[in-house]
Amino acid sequence: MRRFALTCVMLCAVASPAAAQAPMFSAEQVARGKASYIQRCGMCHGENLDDGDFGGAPLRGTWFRDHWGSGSVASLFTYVQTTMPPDNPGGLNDTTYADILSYILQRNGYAAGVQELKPDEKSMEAMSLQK
Amino acid sequence: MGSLNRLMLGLAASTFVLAQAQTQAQTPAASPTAKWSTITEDMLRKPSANDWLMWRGNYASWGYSPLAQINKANVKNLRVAWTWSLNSGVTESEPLVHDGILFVTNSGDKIQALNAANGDLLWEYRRDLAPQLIQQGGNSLAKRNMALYGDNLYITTSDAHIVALDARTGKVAFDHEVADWKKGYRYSSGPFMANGVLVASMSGCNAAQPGGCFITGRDPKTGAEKWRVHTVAQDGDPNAKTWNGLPQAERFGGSAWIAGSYDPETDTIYHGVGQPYPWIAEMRGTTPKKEGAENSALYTDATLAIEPKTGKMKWHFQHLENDTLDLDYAYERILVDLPIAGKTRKAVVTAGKLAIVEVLDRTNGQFLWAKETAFQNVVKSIDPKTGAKTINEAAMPHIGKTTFNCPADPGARGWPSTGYSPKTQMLYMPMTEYCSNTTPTPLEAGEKYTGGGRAVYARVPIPNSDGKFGRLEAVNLTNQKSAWVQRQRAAMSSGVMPTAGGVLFAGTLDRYFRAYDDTNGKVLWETRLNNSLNAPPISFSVNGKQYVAIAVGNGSSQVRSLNTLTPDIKNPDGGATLWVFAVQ
Repeated sequence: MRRFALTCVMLCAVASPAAAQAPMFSAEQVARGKASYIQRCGMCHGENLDDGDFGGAPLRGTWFRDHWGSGSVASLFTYVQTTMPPDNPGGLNDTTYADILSYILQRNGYAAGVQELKPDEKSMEAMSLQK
Repeated sequence: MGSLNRLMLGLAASTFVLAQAQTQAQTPAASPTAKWSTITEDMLRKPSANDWLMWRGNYASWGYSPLAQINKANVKNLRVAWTWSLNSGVTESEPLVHDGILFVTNSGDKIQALNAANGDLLWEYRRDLAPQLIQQGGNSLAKRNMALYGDNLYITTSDAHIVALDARTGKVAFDHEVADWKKGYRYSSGPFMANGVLVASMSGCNAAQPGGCFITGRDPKTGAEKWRVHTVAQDGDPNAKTWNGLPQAERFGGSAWIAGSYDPETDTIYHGVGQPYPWIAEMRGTTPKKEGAENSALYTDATLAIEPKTGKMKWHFQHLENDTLDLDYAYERILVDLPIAGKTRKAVVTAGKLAIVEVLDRTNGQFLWAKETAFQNVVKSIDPKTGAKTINEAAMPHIGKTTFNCPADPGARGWPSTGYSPKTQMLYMPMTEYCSNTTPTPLEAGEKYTGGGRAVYARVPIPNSDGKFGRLEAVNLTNQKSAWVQRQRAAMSSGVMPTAGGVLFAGTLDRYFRAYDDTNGKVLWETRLNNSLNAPPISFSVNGKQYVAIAVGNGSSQVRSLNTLTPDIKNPDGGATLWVFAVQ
């Protein structure tokens, strides 16, 4: 997974246009992701994803759309995994990153389905955040 | 609400009878609770050097130990005397010691009384907190201090209660809800005593609570509230007009999140107040200033002088008007008499996140002098007569722009306390130098403000940084000059403790606990602990032996924020410990 992360930092922006599928993640995963988010991200990004008290960027609404809305799930996953949490980048399990991402996507209006979001390079590259 | 779990020493002692070894050294010691002496106002005014009776060691908040057994010559022989594992989580706890009993608070409001000489558990109090609070974790579960008076240990809780425990047994004497934690109110610091009044300062006022935070004074016997001082000017207060016409329901902030000081001579509490919310003045509604209005947003970022028996505000001094950068002035107020222009002045000394030493006359709030320390670009100049600050407008954030300000939001100094030594007349300041590219984040169209700072702080090194972020500085308060500076890559992350032995104790983000020569900053001793140091050290003496103690643990917003500057410095997620050292 780490090799994917590094490769993706260089290539994902290029790979993004190929993404065509809507993000796929499950409601159960959203629930798990919410719990992890509150524990690991909430202090900086806030309970409501844009009301943090320690300078974290909004993770929903206009800011999210402007920064991530035209790329792939892979590019967002890679960014989060390689830079967050900022005091210990890459310090969470890959599945925890995927769970947290699922929660963020759900809070941004993407619909949960049956299939879980897996921290898998190819499948995430195929998922677009364009609405 | 609370549940009590006590482990009485008598039971512990009898349990160990079978395991008793042949040597006297292994015989369970007699409980120090048997030697407990009731704590009086006189004892708080002149604390025994053997005890650490209150937050920062004395009413004047010096953070200074009058013990001198550990000195510059023998500190190199400091070794671990005993340790005690604490709950994993944010650990900002300054223990208290009286008559050989050490009291420590764990993340999640677990309180323990330990034999200060060997770490034996005497009793334990555990609080049943709501799962939501436990899940949030982080700062919400940490407390910085507690208070001792009479036969009670006083604590504040993560669910915004104030509780009295019998210091000898842990039994609950009273438990009062002060505010609704579900609305965001919480205590992050503990209570303190002032002339027989139990004072506690509310925080968590970053969640759009109408009218902001407050400080209460209580009867220590019953916990009944005697008075309440609002840290945001309320309707009916002439200073309500300083909010640019905002109605009370839209004046937010003013968390009072560090315990104050008390001066028996002037019978005055000195207390700091945090910033207004949201941080960005354009979103808050205090910028642009309306015609004919005032917009300083009192009493945020101010020093308050309060009469302890009545709660009457004697005076206030605002250090930063209309703060728009999250630059708290909430920290400790150090009380010291200083020679100024040929006269001895009763001074109150503080430094906000800007780490500018600011000195006022504590009898009337008159500005005396100020001195810059760590790198900052927010204040261009300070009027030497009034203390009024001229702000660098280029560093002020505005909606739609990214601006550059130093320090970043956690401050060149954060909550870890400075310390003052009467031996050297120096103020010792643990600091970190860095900046931020700051971008306000407006509300979504149609949304109402419900809390949060509402700005992105992208933290970066200072211009032309040499890669060293941590800065420990000694400022001589008598000649108003910097005496020495020690810098290293790791941020300073603990509070500091000067001692009569001429040794200054302080810790860093990269887990080092160090002893410095208080006159020149030379490192005399260091050891590496199990996690980041984010609490102040204390010192005490039992049976003629001096000890130094510090609690360590990871996860506070301050430690995590500082670590963003140096992600190469790795600390464990969990693992909080109370370390106790003595010269061997």
